[in-house]
Amino acid sequence: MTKLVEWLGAAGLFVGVWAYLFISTPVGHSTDFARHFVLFLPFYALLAFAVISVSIIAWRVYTFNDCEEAAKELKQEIEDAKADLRKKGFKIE
Amino acid sequence: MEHRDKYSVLLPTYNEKENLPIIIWLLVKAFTESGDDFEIIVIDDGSPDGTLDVAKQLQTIYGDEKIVLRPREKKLGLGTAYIHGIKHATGNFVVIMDADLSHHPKFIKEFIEKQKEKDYDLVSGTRYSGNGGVYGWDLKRKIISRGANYVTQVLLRPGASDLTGSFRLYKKEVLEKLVQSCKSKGYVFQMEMIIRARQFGFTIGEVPISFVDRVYGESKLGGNEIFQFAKGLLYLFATT
Repeated sequence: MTKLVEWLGAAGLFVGVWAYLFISTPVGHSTDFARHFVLFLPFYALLAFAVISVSIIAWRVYTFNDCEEAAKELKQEIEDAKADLRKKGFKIE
Repeated sequence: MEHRDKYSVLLPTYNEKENLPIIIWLLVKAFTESGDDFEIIVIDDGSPDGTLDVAKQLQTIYGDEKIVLRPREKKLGLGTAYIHGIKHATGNFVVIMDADLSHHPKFIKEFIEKQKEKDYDLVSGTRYSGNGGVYGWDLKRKIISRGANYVTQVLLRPGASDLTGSFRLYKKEVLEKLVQSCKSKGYVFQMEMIIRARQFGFTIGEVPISFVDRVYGESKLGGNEIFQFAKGLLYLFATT
């Protein structure tokens, strides 16, 4: 089963549950809020997903390790390498 | 009779005349310190800057058993470079990495140790987990990187934290099988390798690495790259 098929399956399941909820929510003045909520459930779910996703990405960007030490180390090693290679007869330009 | 592990490092190069001596020096140093048997296979795609001549000089210094040259006429792409390199590899393990000094050979020892832990079929260097990280990226680049990785994780659930990384250790036969089954190019090629590996039931270990980007600023992550990435991602989403 490909990921696409998985997602279509999950979407189908979601639509099924959502339709059932919508149909089974009683019509009437005092239940308008419930009906409204169910109707807009997919929208709220997507909104929640978007907010969570952006938060996760923002956190990961914020905590992305900066390898200062690695860069310094490399700079030094480049010099060491050039010196050693020259000794071994390498022609560095 | 003892069977000894040997590590073949595949180094595809294009215009790396400046970096090649350094990366080879670092590789030789790392393997000499760890004591593992190795060879470095340089696959130069007809670099106009004379990278191949530099490689030949290094071969006279280190010997042609350690520095193996398998050049090609012109730029032919990474997948075929791996195939070409594997054909001449005498090791039972293959290390793939970049020749531009963004990947440091000191991590290879950690890859080897990780691999031995559970006899992993492949070990992937990750910039995104543990104390892995990057040097030289601005905020915009970091956002694109983390954003793209997040979308990939949600859509493909690959079981590996860094899919576009190209610093990895493979069992030779595993790499052979994977390269033959992957059709994509560029970033997506490395992603597809991991996805196919999971499909085939290969085990994947991870080691945090530091990625030192010295070319960001010269090379751009343009709209075209992002478009190709999105296209490739959708292809993998729909077919795996």
